[in-house]
Amino acid sequence: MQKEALEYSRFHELAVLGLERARAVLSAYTGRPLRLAAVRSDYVELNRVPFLSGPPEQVVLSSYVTFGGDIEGQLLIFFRPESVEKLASLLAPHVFGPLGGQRSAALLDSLIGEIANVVGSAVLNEVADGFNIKIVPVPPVIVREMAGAVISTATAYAGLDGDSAYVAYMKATLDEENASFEIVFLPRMGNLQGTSQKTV
Amino acid sequence: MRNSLVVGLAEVKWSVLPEDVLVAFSLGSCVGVALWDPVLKAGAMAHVMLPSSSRGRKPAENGVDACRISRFEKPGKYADTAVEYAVRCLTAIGAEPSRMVVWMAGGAHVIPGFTLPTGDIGAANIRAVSETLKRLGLPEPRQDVGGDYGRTMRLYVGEGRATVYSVSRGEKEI
Repeated sequence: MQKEALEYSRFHELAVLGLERARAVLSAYTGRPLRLAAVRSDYVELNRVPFLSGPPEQVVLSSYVTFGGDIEGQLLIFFRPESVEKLASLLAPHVFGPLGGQRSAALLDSLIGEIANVVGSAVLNEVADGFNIKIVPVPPVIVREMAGAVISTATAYAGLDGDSAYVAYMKATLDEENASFEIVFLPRMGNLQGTSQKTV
Repeated sequence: MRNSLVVGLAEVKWSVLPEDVLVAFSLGSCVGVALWDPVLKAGAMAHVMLPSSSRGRKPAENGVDACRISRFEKPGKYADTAVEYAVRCLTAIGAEPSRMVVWMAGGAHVIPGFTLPTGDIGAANIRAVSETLKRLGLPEPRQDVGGDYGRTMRLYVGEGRATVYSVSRGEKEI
């Protein structure tokens, strides 16, 4: 039990390190300090998972990535509507700023996809490097839907393993702009135990 | 004054209180199943995640496969055990399966490309719930299933009506 606990805590550390890297990159992009507002990871009862990221019926723009390789799992990044506009105006002021030109949902999705790529690849790379394993992500998909519907669908994977899921939850925020995004990392539990054996 | 009872992922809840509203929030690939007995004015709701308990079945220590699911798992997780459990909750207080009103919602494909090793999970959940309802002799469900959008399902216990809310379509009775 002790070995498993240590291994999960290492996973948590690596995920946070990855987010730190992403934070630095995005701070440089936006010219604003990006702060980690919440970082936690734990086993969560399945019925609690849809409520991890605020009201489950609220519509969010989410980036969804599955990954395979030496471990399987899913990485979701949620952007609340008010934050999407603010982040977009900082990252592409010529389009989404006050004097911006033509806006389109597709362009917004693409921009959010880019942020998700920066964050997702930083977190996954850090975990892969830290454990010296191979992680192969599939290209992200952008979904505009109720947060709870997206996360509960993703949780079906965890349901194959038991009645709880190991979840790493992180929130990054631009305090000045009152904008934030949330990351929900759902590695499959069985795979992570395998990782534990690999790194000993 | 209404009182919402949240039916979380893999849960089954029931009530006989007329002010209670059973709610399954944000069904994606999950399927919400609601049962209501018009004589008792009692209702139950299940929030089904996966189609079949055979996936979670584990042999008991004495080698006999006595339980349909592991004692560590919730009956509400699988379509077959969830519907059976919901029916049992209501029949235990005198409800009759043949007179029950049944609703089903969800089973959508909200994440493009998302499948489990067993295939499209939403479609499999719909199929499994339908088969279990038929096997248990329950009436055909009123339903709002499939598509690519999330839904919230509510059962108003005192009135015996069910609604489905989605972002693009608003709230409607089914």
